[in-house]
Amino acid sequence: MPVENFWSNTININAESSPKVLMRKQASELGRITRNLVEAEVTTVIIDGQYQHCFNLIAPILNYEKIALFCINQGIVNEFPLTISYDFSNKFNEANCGCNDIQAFENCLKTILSSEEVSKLINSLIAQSSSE
Amino acid sequence: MKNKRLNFLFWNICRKPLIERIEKLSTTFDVDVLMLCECYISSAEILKAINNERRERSNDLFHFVCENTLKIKIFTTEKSNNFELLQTKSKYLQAFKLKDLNLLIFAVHLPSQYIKPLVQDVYKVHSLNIINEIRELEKNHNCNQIVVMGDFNVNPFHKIMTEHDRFNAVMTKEIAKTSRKVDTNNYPYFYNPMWSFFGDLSKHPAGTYHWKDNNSDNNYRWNMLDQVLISPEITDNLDDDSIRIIESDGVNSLKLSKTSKGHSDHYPIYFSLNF
Repeated sequence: MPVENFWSNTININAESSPKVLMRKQASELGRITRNLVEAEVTTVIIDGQYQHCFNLIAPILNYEKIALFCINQGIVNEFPLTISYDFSNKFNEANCGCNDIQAFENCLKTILSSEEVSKLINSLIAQSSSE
Repeated sequence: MKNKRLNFLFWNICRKPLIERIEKLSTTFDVDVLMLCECYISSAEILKAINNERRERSNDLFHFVCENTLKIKIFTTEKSNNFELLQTKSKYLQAFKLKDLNLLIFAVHLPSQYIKPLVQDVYKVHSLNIINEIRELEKNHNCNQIVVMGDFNVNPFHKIMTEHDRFNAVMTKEIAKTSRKVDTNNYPYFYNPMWSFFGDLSKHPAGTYHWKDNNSDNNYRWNMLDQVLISPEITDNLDDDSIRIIESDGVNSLKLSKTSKGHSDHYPIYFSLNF
């Protein structure tokens, strides 16, 4: 006997987290730019009822060392508002920057990834990898 | 997982600065798993070179997998989250696993016994350690789809390659699909396609390594030191026509030379698996 389905027909198996998709695209782009001397990954955990997505740099040649570049916290149901809870570049740490929509998050992401601090860090990882 | 083709290339580059040839080979043969040994070029330089052209035309850039003190280096176009680096105790062995295919891939570089004939006993110990590690990883990962590729520094007919408690590698797929019973134990075979490449009737060079002297233990002149072993579970995945000893990088000849900076004393070997 078939089981009656109580679930809403609005459940979407193709649902994606737009901030996470954006982060993943930039992670892939870093590999292309550095020819995979420095790679990046996005990891997700649930902490205190929130998703925490962290963007980590990986230097495969340096024994796969990882450095967290930034982390965002996102509600368990609603994507926005989200907050940047850690930022290596120090652009948003003090304000614990909040983003109310994807455009605001894209701007924050651009600020972090294009910062001088991050650029120096990536160059350092490339230099160390090249010295191995 | 279906409709996936993996192209493997192994080359002992004899400590030579052959970065341009490696780049050319990786492109010409659309390599997915690149294994190098005696490779003193930095892994960073290799990554830059082999991804140079690819980054303009492909999303599948090479990733660094591993290297060790013996300068065995592995790169793959598989995504980082699809491969798992496996720790090995033997310095003559490097290994990783492709998760989606449940495939164990090993790169081997055993020490030469022609230059130092006295190390033969030691050589036997090394080969025993290696096969034991391979079987242990096979068991731990519950994975019997195995590729072992490298410079074994002996011919396919050497005892090390054929003995039941060593690589136990045979010349036909049919035999490889059976097992060898010694006393009460069954020993699984590997298929070693390099048996088919000896002598003048092969379409390829008569070996992967040429030894000019004929007054030593090694008097065959042509030797098949570079080999690939395939577990019976994936012999049907092997594209027979793909297996080759490579003589050209697509532009220039790879003639063998111990002394010339622009050439290795080994030819690369290549094959493909279809899944």
